[in-house]
Amino acid sequence: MKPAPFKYIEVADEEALTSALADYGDDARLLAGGQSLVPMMNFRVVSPEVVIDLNRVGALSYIDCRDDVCRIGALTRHAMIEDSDPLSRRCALLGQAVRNVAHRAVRNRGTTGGTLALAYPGAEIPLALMTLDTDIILRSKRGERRLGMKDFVLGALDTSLSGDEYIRQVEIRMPPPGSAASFVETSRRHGDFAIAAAAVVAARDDHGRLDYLRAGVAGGTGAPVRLTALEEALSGDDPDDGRMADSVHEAIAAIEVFGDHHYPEDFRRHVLKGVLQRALKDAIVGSERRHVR
Amino acid sequence: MQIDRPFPQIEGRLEDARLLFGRGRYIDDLPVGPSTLHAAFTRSPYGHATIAGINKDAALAVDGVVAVYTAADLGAVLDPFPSIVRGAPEYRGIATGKVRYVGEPVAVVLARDRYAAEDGVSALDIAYEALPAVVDVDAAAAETAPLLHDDFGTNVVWRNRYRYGDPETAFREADRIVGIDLKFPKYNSTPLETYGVIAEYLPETDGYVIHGNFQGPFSLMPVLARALRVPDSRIRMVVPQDIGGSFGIKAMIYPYMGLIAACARLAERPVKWIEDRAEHLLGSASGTDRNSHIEAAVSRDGLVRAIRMNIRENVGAYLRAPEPSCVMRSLTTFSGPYRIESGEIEAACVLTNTLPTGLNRGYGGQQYMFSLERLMDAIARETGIDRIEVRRRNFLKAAEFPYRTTTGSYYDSGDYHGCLERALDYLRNEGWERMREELRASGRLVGIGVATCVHSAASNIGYVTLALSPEERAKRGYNAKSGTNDFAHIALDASGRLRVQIGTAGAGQGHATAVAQIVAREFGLGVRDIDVIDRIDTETTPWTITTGTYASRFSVVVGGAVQRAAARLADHLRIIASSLLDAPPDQIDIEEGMIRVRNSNSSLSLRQLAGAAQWNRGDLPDDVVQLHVSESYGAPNLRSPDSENRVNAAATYGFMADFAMVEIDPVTFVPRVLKYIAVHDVGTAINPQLIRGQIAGGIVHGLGGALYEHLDYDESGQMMSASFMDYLCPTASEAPQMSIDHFDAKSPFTVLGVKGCGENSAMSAPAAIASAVDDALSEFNGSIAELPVTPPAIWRQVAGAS
Repeated sequence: MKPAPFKYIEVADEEALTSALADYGDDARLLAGGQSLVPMMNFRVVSPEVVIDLNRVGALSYIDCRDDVCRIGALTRHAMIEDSDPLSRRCALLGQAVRNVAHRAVRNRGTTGGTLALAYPGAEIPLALMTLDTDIILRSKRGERRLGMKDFVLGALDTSLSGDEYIRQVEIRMPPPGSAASFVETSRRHGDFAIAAAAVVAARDDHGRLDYLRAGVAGGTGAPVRLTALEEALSGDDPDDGRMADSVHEAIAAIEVFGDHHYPEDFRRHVLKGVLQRALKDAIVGSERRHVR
Repeated sequence: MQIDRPFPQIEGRLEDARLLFGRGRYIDDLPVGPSTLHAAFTRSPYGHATIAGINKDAALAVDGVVAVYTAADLGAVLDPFPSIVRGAPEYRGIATGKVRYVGEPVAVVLARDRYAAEDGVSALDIAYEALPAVVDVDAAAAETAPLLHDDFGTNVVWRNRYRYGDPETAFREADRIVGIDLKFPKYNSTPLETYGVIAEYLPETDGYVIHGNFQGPFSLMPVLARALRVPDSRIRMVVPQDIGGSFGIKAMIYPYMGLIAACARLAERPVKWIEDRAEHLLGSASGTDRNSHIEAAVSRDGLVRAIRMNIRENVGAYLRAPEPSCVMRSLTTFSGPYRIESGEIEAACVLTNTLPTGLNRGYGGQQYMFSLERLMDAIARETGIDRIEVRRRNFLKAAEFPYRTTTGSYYDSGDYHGCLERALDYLRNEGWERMREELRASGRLVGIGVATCVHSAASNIGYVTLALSPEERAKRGYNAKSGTNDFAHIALDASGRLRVQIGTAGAGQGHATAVAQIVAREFGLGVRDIDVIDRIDTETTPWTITTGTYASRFSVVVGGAVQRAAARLADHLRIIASSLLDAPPDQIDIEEGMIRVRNSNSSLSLRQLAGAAQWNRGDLPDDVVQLHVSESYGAPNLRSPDSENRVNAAATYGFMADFAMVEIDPVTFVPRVLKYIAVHDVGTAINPQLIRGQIAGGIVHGLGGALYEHLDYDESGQMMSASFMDYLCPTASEAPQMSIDHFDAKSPFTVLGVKGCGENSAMSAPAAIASAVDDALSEFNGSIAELPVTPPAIWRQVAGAS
């Protein structure tokens, strides 16, 4: 478990990062928290010729919540998200999701940009960002571009990142005040990637009707999946158990789910339904309480 | 002279400061010279394939690579490792002609550092022609199965049948026959520290120096010496001061010691190899997985009269020493804590395209206890008698000890009813049953499970020879095997300080602390007044064939030797003091560092006595004895097997009463162990804190096998759990809340009254947890027959029931 030889470049600012990427393009990998890249290199699953270490680009590490938008720098450690008051107040889903990421030691190193760039199926933060209204800001020497999460993550371990690009920032449009979030994950051990996970945020209008519902699932799916049809079906009056179960059943039946050696497809679908139903109930009940109060 | 006072205790352990401040010295900490080469293995990516060709050129061209050796090269200096079973297929530790499991070594690359060695591995060009693989033990035993070793003609590498008492009559007269089929999984020990070897060949003596984190048993040293073609004593085996966990797996490093030593000889330079985690999962060793049928002849009132069992044991791609010992615990303690006087066991070891097996904490115990305790639960279910009551009815009674079982095991002592009652006290005081009802009422699936098991300890090396038939053992020229023994050395220096030397190859158990307690008690000193050196260098440390840390033997065997050495040194000191103080030796007491004449003011300090004996030797009478003593101790009652395959397999037999509480998520079917109770008879407790640590670790090890850990393979022989992403070791988050207590049914036979405690719930927890899962799923009428209990497995069972 030693990596193949590689050239190591450390960059201190975004300009140097942009040029290094322009120079080495597809032959390079970015080293942020290193919680996935380093083991993958040690296993020689990947053997990049160049590793560009951006840990000293301090300008990429920030959480900035203003108005209805929260901006998170790509180098922001998971632990910073976990500990952030504004995020836990305004965007509780992300805080709940991040607590399911491995253990604290990993969260001290792992970064928002890193987990997005890897796009590991079953990873928690991509699911939370897919469920919320999130844009990803990418940058290269050629310029900057903005992609919605759905256009950014294309599948398992597959994103729209070009070789010369890096993730600069994540922009989340906050759920409305009074919303409730629920992130429900199933894994056999605490801290593992999800066998199945569901993320739901719900909010009500002045009349107590569900007017904001966001739902997504991951685990057994390639990319995390936003369930827009279910969101529409369940908005409005509170669904009873039957309507909710039907919608959940339809939503999971409609998505592509992969089985593997450990967890066959039918089991994954069963669990996806279970976690989704739990997360929906939690969030809908939670948002009701807020309205009543 | 008998000293009767409690063992002195200390906070923490003597080892703690060294280990906690990072001053442990492990294999990878040992300094090596600049000429040392670093090894990396090329391992098979196939479960089963012919090696069509190996081209070394590209690997040798890599900067820093010095040599590439294959089986053909190593064969010049390394023979196959001898097997316990005569005629078993050759095992060389490296593939010859074919690869037979994923991860099997195919070549060794030696380079100036590990990075270059791994670059060489990446560059090495090996052509394979894939063959059909077989990984399931029953599939491999079928006549049509692909053959692992073509010349051997079958994958069933060993089989034997054992019969005790009169099972035919018992089954004929039984009111009921209860039978179940079970599957026990393949998993291992997962020590924090992986294998490591540093070897050097000494041409001037035709000998080897091998540093390795080898835990013993040292009966494997002659196996290694035979393969390396040298007399036993030409291998200087040095075990580093610290081993980062062993748990049985570190016995199975021996083939790698052979391979690296052979590399050192061919390269004429020292060679170092530190196994990495991926290699450890793919290529170290594991416990066996087992398919079995077990059935009991049961009377109307739930008494088990006899057991019949059929065992198909998966030993992986090679049968290597000490296999087939993995099945022997199923014979030697087949009746567990119960009075079962007849039994018939058919056992077969089968070769498959999986990692070869070896010791894993409990070595065959967990497999068997899972069978027997699943059977007791099945008997309870079928007779309608409560699970605990069935066990009670079958228990041996306290007055029956010592008790000779039908297989020859000589149970030294016990109070199974009393120990179980103590465990039940915990269960009642903690309100387990109320908690279960409350949680169930709120819609959760919760169950309580039980296992009551016998913990044999300090094994008789003779049990290994049950692999041979009585006829083979009766042949002229056959050398019988029996016993277990070890050494201790103790010395008083001129300043009056005691120093003990042992060689246990310990791995963090706290052996030095326990030894210091034994000696401190004898001399009435504090634990920290004793220095303990626990190190093995076979050139200077006394050792025996049975040396090592395995089979929960430390406190019985090494503890016994230490106690004897300490007592004999104390006798010597009394004789010296008798001369100095002019009083008879039996009137002299030693305590708190003072030597006192009983009922008098006459005394001298240990320091004065040592000083006089060292500096004023000439003035002492000639027969005055030395200030250092070596003692060996052989555990009692251990003979070689008789002509009926009866053998007392261990020096002592503890008892374990375990309870587990399991919760299963009713939607995702993820199981968790919430609580665990373990009350174990460990005999006299030298250090309750160390015992507690052993049992807590054992519970979590057993939890791994019950719910999480599985070295599983797909049909092509690919390992599906080759990293910690898929090989799920329980972490602190998964550890249950534990109530641990020990129950002292002192052994009448061992020196200190101690019994072993090292394997403990690693053997019983899989059974207790399976029992709890059954209880949690009671509304679905299922019964767990296979481990680990995974969410998809529970889902299938529940879906099948509803």
